[in-house]
Amino acid sequence: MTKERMNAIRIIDELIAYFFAQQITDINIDLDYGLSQTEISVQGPCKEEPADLDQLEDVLNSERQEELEEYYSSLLGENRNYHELNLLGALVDGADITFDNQQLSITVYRKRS
Amino acid sequence: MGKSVSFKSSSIAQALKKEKIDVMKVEEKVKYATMILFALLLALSAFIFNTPVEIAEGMLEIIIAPSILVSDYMVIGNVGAAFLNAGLLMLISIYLTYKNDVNMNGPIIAAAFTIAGFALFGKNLFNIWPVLVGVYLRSVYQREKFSKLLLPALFGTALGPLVSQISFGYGMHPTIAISLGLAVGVLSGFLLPPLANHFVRFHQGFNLYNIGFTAGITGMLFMAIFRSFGFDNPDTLYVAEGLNEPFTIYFAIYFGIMFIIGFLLNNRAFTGYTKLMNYSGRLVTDFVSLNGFGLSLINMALLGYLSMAYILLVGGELNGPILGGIFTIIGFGAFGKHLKNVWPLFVGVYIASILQIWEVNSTAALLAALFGTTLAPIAGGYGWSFGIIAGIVHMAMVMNVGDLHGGMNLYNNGFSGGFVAAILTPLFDSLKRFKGDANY
Repeated sequence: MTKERMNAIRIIDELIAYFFAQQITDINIDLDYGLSQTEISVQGPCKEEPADLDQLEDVLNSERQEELEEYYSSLLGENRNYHELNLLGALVDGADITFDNQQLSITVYRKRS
Repeated sequence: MGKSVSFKSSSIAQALKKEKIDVMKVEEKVKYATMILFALLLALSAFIFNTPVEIAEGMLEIIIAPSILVSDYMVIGNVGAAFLNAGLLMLISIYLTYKNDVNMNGPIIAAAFTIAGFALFGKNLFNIWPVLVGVYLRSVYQREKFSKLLLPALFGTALGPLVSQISFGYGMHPTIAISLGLAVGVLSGFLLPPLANHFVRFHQGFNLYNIGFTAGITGMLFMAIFRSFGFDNPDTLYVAEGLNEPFTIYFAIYFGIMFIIGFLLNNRAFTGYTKLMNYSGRLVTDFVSLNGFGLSLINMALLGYLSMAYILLVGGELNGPILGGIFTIIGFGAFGKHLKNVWPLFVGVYIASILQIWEVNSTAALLAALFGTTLAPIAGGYGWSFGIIAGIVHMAMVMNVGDLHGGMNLYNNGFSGGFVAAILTPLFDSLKRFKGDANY
């Protein structure tokens, strides 16, 4: 499997971990593994807006840091006990996050480089 | 249920470790200029300690030294040559970062200062290049931009002694020896990136010197092969003595400059420092992007003072390897270490030195204390008492693993730290002691 596909899997793992942490268990995942970019969208019902949503948006929209990819990417989605959301932010180019009608939706974009 | 969700959310917020208070953004050119200033300060300080002729002679001695642990370039060459070597290698690191269009962020600052520190006792203008070329060839092979492999390239120069020992230490014909040394250096650099990415999972990011563990494994492989052909490395311990007074003054000023620049760049305030110290420091925690460049410099300077104070308080000597340790701590002050997660490791190693067979102010014990802070995320993540336990275990472990790679891997404490973190953190997790975002 190519590294880029592995990265897509790890990003999904990390996002699922975040949803589980919000007690969201009915999760829909949409993956568009395109030629120019990967788009991953995760949605699920959530009774309350997560308190850290603004922070999450900041982190996931922070500048991509390619120099971290080859060295640290395997930490992403790996561990049961620790989040890697800062690392996730360094590996994606941007994100859209919405919370409407008790529905949490996170979409991340990762361009091919 | 609502309460539960709220609790989880605040837990995640803690995990995000993202400050909502304003982070002082500093332009890249200012960051680069600041780093160049610190490198130039080191390089030009050479002329305070020695004449240009002495420095040139010292540089030559350094370049042809086998450089295995522990080879203080202040003894092998002289103080001036060691400083010039450190400044030049730091400038090379900064230049490579700039040429590859990488931002001057926490990991890069950690790498640059680590290289400068180890250029006082093991890395030089000869032995870093084969490893860098090897990593570059890896990037060509993988059809990746070299920028993606810059960190393993910079940190991977820990295997410099592998090149130098083969080239100058085994008594082979010079042409054969240098050719073989260069070839093995390139090969090791080529091997490092996938191994580094693989082994980071072994310790789950609780060992900050990840390449130290990877290079230890790589060095162990090569050493095993060399020993099978009858080549072995001698026990080596060259350390300078009697330099505490000039170095205390010099580095008090050096850290002071760092502190003042940081203070100015952080809007003439210490805003955010308490928050910074709440991070566990586990990989990947980039203080520069999370807290700002200025605050990172303040943290780095404070860590420099703390480290130097520890050495002086226990009656240690400031020399190449010890200053290398201090420089590495400073560098990782931008990438995971802070006062709160470092001191338990010092205390742990100090207690171990009292209880175990090593003198607290011996070079080995001092290096274990300084570089043992590779495990700072354990103290940050599980609490200070667990950090002390990690320090005690590390002291015993580090004295046992060096022989595996015969001193070929300069980051011996990173090698040891990988084992300690891999052993302790699952145990601590089983006790549910991680203070961050557990239980999901």
